Amino acid sequence: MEEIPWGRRRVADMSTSADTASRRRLPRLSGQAGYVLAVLFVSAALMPLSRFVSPSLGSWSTVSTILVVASMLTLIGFGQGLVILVGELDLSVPSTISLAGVLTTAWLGEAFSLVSFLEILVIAAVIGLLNGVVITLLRVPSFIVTLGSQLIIAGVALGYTKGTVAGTTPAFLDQVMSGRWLGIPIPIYLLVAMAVVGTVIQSHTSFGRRLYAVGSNRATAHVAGVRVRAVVIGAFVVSSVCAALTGMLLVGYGGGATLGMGDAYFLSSIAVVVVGGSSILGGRGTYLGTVAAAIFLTTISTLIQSLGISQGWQTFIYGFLIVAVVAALNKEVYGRAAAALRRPTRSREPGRPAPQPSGALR
Amino acid sequence: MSAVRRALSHGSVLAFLILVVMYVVYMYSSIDVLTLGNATDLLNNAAPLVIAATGLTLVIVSGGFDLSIGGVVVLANVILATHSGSTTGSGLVAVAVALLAGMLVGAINGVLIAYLRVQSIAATLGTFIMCSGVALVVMPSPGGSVPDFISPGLNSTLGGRLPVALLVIAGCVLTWIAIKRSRFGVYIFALGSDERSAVQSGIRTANVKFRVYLFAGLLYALSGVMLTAQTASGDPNGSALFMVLVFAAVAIGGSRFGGGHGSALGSIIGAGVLVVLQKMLFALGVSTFYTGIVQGAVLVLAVLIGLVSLSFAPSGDDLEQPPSTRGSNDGGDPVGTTTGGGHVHER
Repeated sequence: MEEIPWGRRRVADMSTSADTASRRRLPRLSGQAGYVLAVLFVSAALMPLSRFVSPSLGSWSTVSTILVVASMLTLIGFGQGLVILVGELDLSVPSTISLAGVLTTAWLGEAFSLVSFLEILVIAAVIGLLNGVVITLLRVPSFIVTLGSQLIIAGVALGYTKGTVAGTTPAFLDQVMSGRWLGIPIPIYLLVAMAVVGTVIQSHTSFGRRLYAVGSNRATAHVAGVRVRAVVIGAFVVSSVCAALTGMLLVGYGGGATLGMGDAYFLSSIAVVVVGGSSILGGRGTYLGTVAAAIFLTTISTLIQSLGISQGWQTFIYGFLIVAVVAALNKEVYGRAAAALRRPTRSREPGRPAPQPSGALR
Repeated sequence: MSAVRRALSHGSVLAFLILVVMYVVYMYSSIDVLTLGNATDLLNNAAPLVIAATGLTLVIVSGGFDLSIGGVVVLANVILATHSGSTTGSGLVAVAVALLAGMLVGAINGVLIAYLRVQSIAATLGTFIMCSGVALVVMPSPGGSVPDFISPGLNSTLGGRLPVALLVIAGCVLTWIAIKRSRFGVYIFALGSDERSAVQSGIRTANVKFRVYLFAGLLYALSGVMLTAQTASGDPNGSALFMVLVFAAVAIGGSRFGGGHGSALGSIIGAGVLVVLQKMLFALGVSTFYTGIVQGAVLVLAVLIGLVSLSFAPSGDDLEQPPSTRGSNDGGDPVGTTTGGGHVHER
């Protein structure tokens, strides 16, 4: 059970490299911590350096804006990250954000109503529950189920509003997103709190360990007594609730709701997890990586925007970064590149079998 | 009885039955369904979906996954809308450029996935976003126009009788049959069933994968051309729903996400189901607000039906592999775990 968080191995691989697993454990862990630090360092370096691009950048106000925007990406990345950790995907995130946003303005109104607030979260939890139940009990691929529920939820939001969003932004959400405490915007506290709470949940609770176990190898997790279906359903519930909370924060940030307000998170919720160093196949990754990636991606997009280049090139660079990071994190790429240059590969791990064709190393 | 079970075990047969039932409902709900004009209209709506679904089926059968459809379709669309001029000659050049762009994206996918071994979901997610960006650069806002031979040309009939779209769909059917009978087709199925065994059988899997993505890219671009024939203009933003429909068509057609089993014929019928569904709902007077809800429900139901139809399969059929070979395939490809995980591990 111990080696599960650092990499899923195929059954065939396990038999040949039981001892390499233990040898690899420590370097893998420090490798991931190093990656997180590197991403954070690059982001931190980019912020002051961006002053050279435009004098208005790099100021404290720009940095705090970046962190405020990143806080929402951090939240959505937590839910999506848990789902990816168990080896599934949640594509219903964007329409859940939009539905929650629409309901927030329609139901919460000016004053804060705890009942309505909880109602929206319960609706989100039910969405996640249905996603999870259909995926685990009826064994339909998560990609299909959540694509279908994305269409359904978007249809519900459209049908409910009849095309025009009603209501007002609740005052407390406005205060949360634009308020300050000790001179620092409140969302930045949220980001830090989220990073701590998320890391504790993902890496230091029994639920988190179960997520890694399920994502690493379901058969093994099952044999070890993990209730695989319950864990997967749990991940989807958390994902939908995170999406709903993000929708609420977006209402406070943008001062209103639109039917397409979640669309931007369709791809970026997955991108932030992948760039954060998690394996899209599940079983590997840390939440701190996702937090670092949220800050990194927001910094990059702010920087690109200020370069004055068109929306198209911004999108292109964003996509290119995802491919580049995923390729860079893929250790086999180096092996292949080295082989292509006809240089002998370094023998870091003497006992390690040659790279397998189906991509065991990620 | 066993013949019935065997027939139902093919997802495409079940999808075909659904299509027939829905077409009958549609026929009774609207008056002039059986006219040539109406049939042409239906085929025109189905053609882009059919072509893209054929391409996606190849990728799915090979055990991969492709999110770049949306990007390539939009890229082809904006290239035609901005650069096709007004004459047939300039239009043909633009079509050629669009198809080359599709192949280029397919080649990038292929290199990333086959040779650099990036997971197919992550790689094609990236190329999808990159294509959307390039599409915005080519055409920042919706508009543009295309020469007559594209629209209405590709939407009309030859000699007043034969819809061009029907020829295109027939072309897809023939292409699939040709591929399936070729050595390449055998390799694709072998790759999707069990990559390790394919390698050990001497198949150059990287090369096969590369060609699959290359060809799929070409088909997506062709799909974009047929889509442009319908809209007669360009829109750099509208692709997400189309991509969802393509995946839905493949799912309804009974192809297994995870590889090794599937048929473009099923996907083509699946595309027909989706288009007839839209027409039927419109004819029945269902508000367009709720079309998305129905499409989403059909998508999930279709996959359920596909899984039910798999359960009709007689034991010992080639659909059911021993768990061990599935497990090893599962470890190496993204789809087996992210989309078919529960199916594989919990049986």
